[in-house]
Amino acid sequence: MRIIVKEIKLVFTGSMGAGKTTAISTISEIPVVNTDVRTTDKARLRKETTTVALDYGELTLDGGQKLKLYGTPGQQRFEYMWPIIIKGALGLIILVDDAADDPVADLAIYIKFFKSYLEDMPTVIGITRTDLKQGPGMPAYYDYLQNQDLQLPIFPVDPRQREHLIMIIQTLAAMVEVV
Amino acid sequence: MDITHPHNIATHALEKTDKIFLVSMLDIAQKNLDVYWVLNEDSPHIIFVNVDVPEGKAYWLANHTKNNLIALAQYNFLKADFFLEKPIRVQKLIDLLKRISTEAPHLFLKTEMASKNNDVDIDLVLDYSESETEVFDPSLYLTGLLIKAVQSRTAQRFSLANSSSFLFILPEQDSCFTKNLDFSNLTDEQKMCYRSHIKDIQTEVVNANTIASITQKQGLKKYPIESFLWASTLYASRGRLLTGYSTKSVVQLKRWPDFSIFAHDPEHFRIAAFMLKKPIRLETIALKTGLSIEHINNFFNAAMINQLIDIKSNNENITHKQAQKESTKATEKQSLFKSVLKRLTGE
Repeated sequence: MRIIVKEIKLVFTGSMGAGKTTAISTISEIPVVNTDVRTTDKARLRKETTTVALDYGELTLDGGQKLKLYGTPGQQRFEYMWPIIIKGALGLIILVDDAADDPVADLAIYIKFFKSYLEDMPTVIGITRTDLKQGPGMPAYYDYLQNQDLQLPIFPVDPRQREHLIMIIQTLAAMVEVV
Repeated sequence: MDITHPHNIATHALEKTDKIFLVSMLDIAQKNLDVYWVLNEDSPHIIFVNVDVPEGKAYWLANHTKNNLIALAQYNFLKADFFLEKPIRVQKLIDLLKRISTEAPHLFLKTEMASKNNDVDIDLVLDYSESETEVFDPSLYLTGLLIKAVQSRTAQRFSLANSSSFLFILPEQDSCFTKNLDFSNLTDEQKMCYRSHIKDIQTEVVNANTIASITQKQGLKKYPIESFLWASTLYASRGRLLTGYSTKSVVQLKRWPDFSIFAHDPEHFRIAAFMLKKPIRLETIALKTGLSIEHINNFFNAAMINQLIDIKSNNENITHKQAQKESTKATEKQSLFKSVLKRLTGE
């Protein structure tokens, strides 16, 4: 009898430069496979390279199962790929760059796009680069979620820090009980 | 209208113009109200607090759990249940006073309200001989000293219970300074320190320059004051709830606690998840998570002191029977996440 093993994956999505590739690198046990290319549009002012297809990392769990870590391309023109990547995911992590031009609008894009998944899929929102103090700060995001009547965990994260990624996973694990 | 039993209003940290506005608007509003409201600073039922100024905000922080405060501000940044926008408008004042009368009738049953002068409360407490009570009084612990320092805008050093641990508070920077802490893994000694009774805490007024110099010399780290309000409340609560709440209280988190700055154990994520999702009784969280009610109460108090909690009307729509059934479900997802965490933490 053939045993079908379902893919186990976590998906990192969010705006360009929010730290998706970094977050995956922080916890992946293999070098992240990505398709970064040099940016050619105005985004170049903020980032030298960007992911055009997806990032991929892995973590081996007990029993040899592989947890696959996917990062979606940040630029919105690649959003046709997002539903393909999210399908069957264990959890969704939305990262937003607080130092971007309009980070609340960035968050709104991802909330709107993934809204149909939020009811059933544990989801966490991480706000990155808050240390630069260039963005609107956490209250702006709290207000946005409240206006959308969404009760989602949202907190500042540094995607370079393993402890912060562990905190994200702990939060997703906790949300499993209530979704 | 019964003018022999007026409802008393006091104010805190109001600017002169706001107070004049309040008095005149109250006078105009009176004919549209069933209850006679009067400004009486001595035995108030409710207190209007100007939270736009540091003194008022500190007062709010220290006393909002008493539930008789009305936030007065340009906008409701504290997400207060009872809020009045500045500048004061008659209709909004009428609506607010009517709401208070119907939604918080318990406020008017009490013959004596807690003193509105928090400095006096805490000073009295300094002579308090410790006796374990059924309820948690934050003013008896480090939490109370931190709040008092914030209110008085006084930089201080706290030396904690029979240990080398110390903490500087610098209210003008909204910060505390101490040695490097790992909030996900505080030692038992650190937990013991944060649960210290005020009689075991030495306080010393210091100036900002001294703090800066010691911080540099000893490599101290800067933390938000909220971190220590949280830690002290969490560990000092010892299962007791803040006055005025019960395990039947229906609560909801306003937002997810930032655990990178709050002491926590893994179970706090589970409590937060239940408390965030929808209004829920404290006792139901205990039932659903299988955690002790004391554990839930400690978390609730810490979140409450940090203004992360909304108290809801008692309309929780889940029965205990349902909760018990759901709590026994071990999902495949949960075990996968456990496996991921085990792999990441190496535990």
